[in-house]
Amino acid sequence: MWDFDMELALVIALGGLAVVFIILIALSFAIGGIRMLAERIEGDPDAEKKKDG
Amino acid sequence: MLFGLLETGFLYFYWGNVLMILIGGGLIFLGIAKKMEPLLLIPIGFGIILVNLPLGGLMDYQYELRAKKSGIVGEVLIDESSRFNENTRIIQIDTEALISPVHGRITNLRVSPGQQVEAGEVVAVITTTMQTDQEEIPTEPVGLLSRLFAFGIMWHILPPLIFLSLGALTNFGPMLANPRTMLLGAATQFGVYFAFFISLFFGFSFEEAASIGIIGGAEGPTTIFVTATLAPHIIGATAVACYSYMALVPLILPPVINALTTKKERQIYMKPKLRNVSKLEKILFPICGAVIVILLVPSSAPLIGCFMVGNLFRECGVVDRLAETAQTSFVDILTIFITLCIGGTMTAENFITISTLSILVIGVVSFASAAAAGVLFAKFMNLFLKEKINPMLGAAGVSAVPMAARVVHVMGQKENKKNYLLMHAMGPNVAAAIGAAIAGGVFVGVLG
Repeated sequence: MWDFDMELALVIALGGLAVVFIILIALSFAIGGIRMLAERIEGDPDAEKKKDG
Repeated sequence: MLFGLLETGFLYFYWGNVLMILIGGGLIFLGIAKKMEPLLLIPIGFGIILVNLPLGGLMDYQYELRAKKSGIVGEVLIDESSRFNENTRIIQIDTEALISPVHGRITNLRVSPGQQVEAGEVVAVITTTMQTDQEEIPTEPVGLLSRLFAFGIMWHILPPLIFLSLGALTNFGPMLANPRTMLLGAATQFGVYFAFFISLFFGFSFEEAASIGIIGGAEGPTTIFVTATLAPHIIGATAVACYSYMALVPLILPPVINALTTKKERQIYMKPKLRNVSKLEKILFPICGAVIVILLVPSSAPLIGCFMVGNLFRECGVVDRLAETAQTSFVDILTIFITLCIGGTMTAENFITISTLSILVIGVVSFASAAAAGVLFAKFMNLFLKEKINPMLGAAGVSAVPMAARVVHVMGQKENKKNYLLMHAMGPNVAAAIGAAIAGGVFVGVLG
């Protein structure tokens, strides 16, 4: 019906999209971790501003 | 000798060159008169004009045609001054004809009828403008632009360096403040894989389909990087499609958004102020981001590594000179080289093909499907979110930084004057740049 390897095409397409999602989700968790670390070291910038205000 | 002195480009000039010069002129017109991506379209347009003036030689490569086996040279089937297409029979050796795998013209015929040749001996030197797979058809660049192209783009130097400058120009703040918008940047990569599939159905090879699909990532350097690695012979078409459609984002996104959202959804209000992101977060993100992405997809290292180091220059605050250079003169110099080279690949012989037309059509489908996937995914996310996001933000996940975000912002203001979506839209916008680099890295890793 088609003259290309449909199985390989599906693996590349679905696998590729899954990899993009997994990495960006991993990055968003990393961002959460970075935020917690930064707040522990420096304090919450929004809370500091409210305090100053 | 005298003929050589009098030889002019008119001998080889044909309707294809005229058409390409008109296309080059059209791009220059769009850049100057309509202010559409002038930094890109003007040098690309002029590059097209330059390489379609025969005998200028700016994009020439030399290919040595070799005898496959020993024998006596029979008839020479092509005149030295004639232009021929690829797979043309050039010289008869015994009973077998030597076929040229490239188009072009013979610039040095080294044998004559009746002469004995050995297997592997060079029988003719052919000058061509064709981009070839160097492992199958090795050529030597001999023109200014072909040398720049070979050593700058085919060696993967210029596209990653452009990414370094993009990193220095990118503010990750909105994405760090609202990381869930990264999912929208991931969802729009659906357009890449959708176009990949369509290309396969159109009869393109896997490598070509990947290079066409990545147009939907809306990142010029990523498109060039992937195409140079997997299918260099279509690099002119993919790069021009990508840059042209990036310029046309204000025309492509609104109909897709309007078709997939209701007026009420487009009016969803989002608080204009995002949380403050500290300097430490902005410094740590490019380092952690590079480590995570490159460990998971090593083939994305040239793009992601340069992107993140450029961003670190920007955010660390102690190398302002480097950041400023990367943001200004460095990116300008790279842009001149890369755009002239891209224009240079668009000779009539390379560009006027059915496959170019198909690539342009699939490219626009790729952009539109990416935007559609982003919008639909934003609506899907709203099913689970207490504080709804405006689904138009999904369309900002078509990278084209910052144009797509601006388009979404302007549409948002039209629907609800109180809405200020620009900073929200920048989140998926820059996340999509990372997503496109990852998708490109996956293609290169699997097919390269």
